[in-house]
Amino acid sequence: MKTMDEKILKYFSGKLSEMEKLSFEAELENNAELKKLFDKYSSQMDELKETNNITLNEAYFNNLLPRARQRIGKEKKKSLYPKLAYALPVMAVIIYFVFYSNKPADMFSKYVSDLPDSSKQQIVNYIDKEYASIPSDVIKDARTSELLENEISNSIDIQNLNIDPRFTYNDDYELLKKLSPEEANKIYNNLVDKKIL
Amino acid sequence: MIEDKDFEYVRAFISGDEKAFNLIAKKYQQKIYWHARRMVGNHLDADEVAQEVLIVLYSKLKDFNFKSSLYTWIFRITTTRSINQINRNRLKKFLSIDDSVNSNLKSEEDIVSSMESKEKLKKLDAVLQKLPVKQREVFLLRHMDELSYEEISKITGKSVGGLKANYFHALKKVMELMNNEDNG
Repeated sequence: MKTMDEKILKYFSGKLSEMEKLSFEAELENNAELKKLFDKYSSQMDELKETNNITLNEAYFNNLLPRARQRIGKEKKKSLYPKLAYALPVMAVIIYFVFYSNKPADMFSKYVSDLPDSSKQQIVNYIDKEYASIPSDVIKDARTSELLENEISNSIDIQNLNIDPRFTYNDDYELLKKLSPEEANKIYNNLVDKKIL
Repeated sequence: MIEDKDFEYVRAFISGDEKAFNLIAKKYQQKIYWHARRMVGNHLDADEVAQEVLIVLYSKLKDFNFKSSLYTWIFRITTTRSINQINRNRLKKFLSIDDSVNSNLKSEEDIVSSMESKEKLKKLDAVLQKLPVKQREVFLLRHMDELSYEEISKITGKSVGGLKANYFHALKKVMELMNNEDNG
C-alpha cells in the first residue's frame, strides 16, 4: 500500500522518469487497487483546486487599487519628509521668487547663506534630483502662483509666529525662516494634494 | 525574450501613463490576493500583502528588466511579501503582542459570501497552514496556480529537481491531512 501511495505521489510530482511514467500508466490500467487509490488522490486534489472557482466579493477588488494608491501617495510624501525639513522653505522661495517674482536672487542667497554647509549640499542635491524637470508651463501658470500663496498663508499659524496677520507672501522671508519641519511638511503635503507641486 | 501585452503596459507606465498601471493592477490583483491568501491563511493579512504588492509594483516597475514575464515577477514579489507577513505574525506571537482586535477582523471581514465557499476555504487554509512555508509556496504555485516547475524555479530561484522534491513532500502531507480530516 505504502509503495502505491509513493508511486502515485511521485507521478503527480513529476518525479518519475519517462520509462517509470509509462510503466506506471500501464499498471494503472491493470491494477484495480492502484486505480482506486489513484482516483481517490485525484479527487482530493481536485477538491482543493475547487477553491479556485470561489466567487469573490467584487466590491473588495474594486476598492483594492484605490486603497493601495492612497498609500502610495502617503508613502511618497512620507519619504520626502527628512529631506524637506530643510529643503521645503527653500523650495518655496525658489519656486515663488525664481519663477514668479522679479527680485529673487538676494532673498534666496540670504536664506541659503544662513544654513550650515552640509545642509546647503543636501538642498542642492535634493533640488537637483527632484526639481530639475518641472515643466515651465506648470510653474509659470498664474493660478498656480495664487494657489501656492494661499496654501502657504493658510497653513501657517501666523499668531504663534508673531507675524503681522496682514502679511503677504512677498514679505515673508522671515516667516519662511521660522517654519518648523512639521509646518513645512504640512504645507508641502497640502501643495502635493492640491497638485500645486 | 518573452513579449506580450504586459510589456506594453509596463512601457506605457514607465513613460508616464498612470492608466497603464491600473490595467496591470486590475489584471493581476485577484491572483495576487489569492496567492497571498493561501500563503498567509486569512483575509486581513492577505489584504495587507495585496496592497503591499501593488505599492511595490508601482515603485519598482521602472526597474523591470523585460527578461522574464511580468506575472513571474509579480508572483515573486507576492511570495516574498507573504513570507514577510508570516514572519511578522510569528514575531508578534513570539513577543505575545495582543492581536485580538485583528483576530476578530480576520474572521469577520472576508470577501467570500457563500457559506459553502467559506467552508471550502476554511478547510484549505487549515491544511495549508500545517505545511512548512517553503513547501506551501511550491505547492500553491504548482497545484493551485498551475505553473510549470521551470516557472516556479524563476520565481523561487530553486532548482527544478529541488522543487519536485518539495512538491512531493508537500503533496504527501496534504493528502495525509485530508485523509485524517475525512476519517476524523
